[in-house]
Amino acid sequence: MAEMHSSKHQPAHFTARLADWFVTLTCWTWFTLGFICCFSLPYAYAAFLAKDSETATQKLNSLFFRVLFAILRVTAPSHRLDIPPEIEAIRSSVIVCNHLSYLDPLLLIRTFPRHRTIVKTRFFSLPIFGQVITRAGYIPASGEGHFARFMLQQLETMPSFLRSGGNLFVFPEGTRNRGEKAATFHPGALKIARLCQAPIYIVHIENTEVLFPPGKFLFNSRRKNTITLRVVDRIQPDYQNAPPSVTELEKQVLEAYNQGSP
Amino acid sequence: MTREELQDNILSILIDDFEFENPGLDDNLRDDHNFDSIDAIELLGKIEIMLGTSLSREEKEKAMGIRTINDILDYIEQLDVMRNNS
Repeated sequence: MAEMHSSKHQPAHFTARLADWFVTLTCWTWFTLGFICCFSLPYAYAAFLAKDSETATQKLNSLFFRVLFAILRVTAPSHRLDIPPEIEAIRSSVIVCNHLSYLDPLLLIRTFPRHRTIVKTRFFSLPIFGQVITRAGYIPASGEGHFARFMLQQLETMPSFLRSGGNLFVFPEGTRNRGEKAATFHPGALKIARLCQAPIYIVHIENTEVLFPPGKFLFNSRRKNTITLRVVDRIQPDYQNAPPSVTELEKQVLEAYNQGSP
Repeated sequence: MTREELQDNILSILIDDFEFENPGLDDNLRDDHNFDSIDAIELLGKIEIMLGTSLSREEKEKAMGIRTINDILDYIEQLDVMRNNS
């Protein structure tokens, strides 16, 4: 009886797996061929000819991932994206965010055309990808060794970048969190907010891990799901008259951060 | 400024602005006080104000390798010597 039951469900399971493979391979095709065929020339232009190479590269990154999420909307229509206008309107801020899936940074890059973020230092040494994130003005997680100059340069220009409308988004947990509460919290983003006297947004991401589960190769394409971004809190410290310590900022952000967890 | 005066100034900056508790001159800044590259850049800004002078990119880069409070004091003294010689 059990055998009959499982064999009855095999075709459905097979179809689901096939759909997951289709979505995954379509996305990888976009990452590779899409980049080469559609974006390599614009990236080359942004790198060598654009007046403001950093902004041009950031906007290209954002467009590249807009197309990726459009592909996902078509190939995995049971997944919806819910990004309220108040999120897209955020400017000149440090945004701290929970981290559930590898899709999270791609979603934020898609949402904020002018952005910087902190990236693991080893990624800067990768061919092509390392060049793109360097040109985009992303910041290495560590300023050790030969990254000292680059980090200095990026942090020195951070106040003007934020003032001109750019956002810095950071995942302060550093890695994907599979629990409900914030894991280890790296206060680097808060130090930068304090250094640049910028407001801090706490943004909560929901359900990206349903579409692209941690530890899996395949997208989970057929589940009904809504990926959401929402503002949990906005902190605007009085930097002039009562500058907060990093510990005070961390306490405020963590409270809001954990309230944002479902 | 003598080394003792410099030490007092730096310690008070580290305690007041970077929340150091009982800093030792040879403590490892990163391991013992979670002092990272971003803090180093903020501290360089405060050193500039303290010395009343701007630091060049090369001078700042050298500071990124600092590990202890004694290293900070040596670094500022070296800056002073280099400026007096030039």
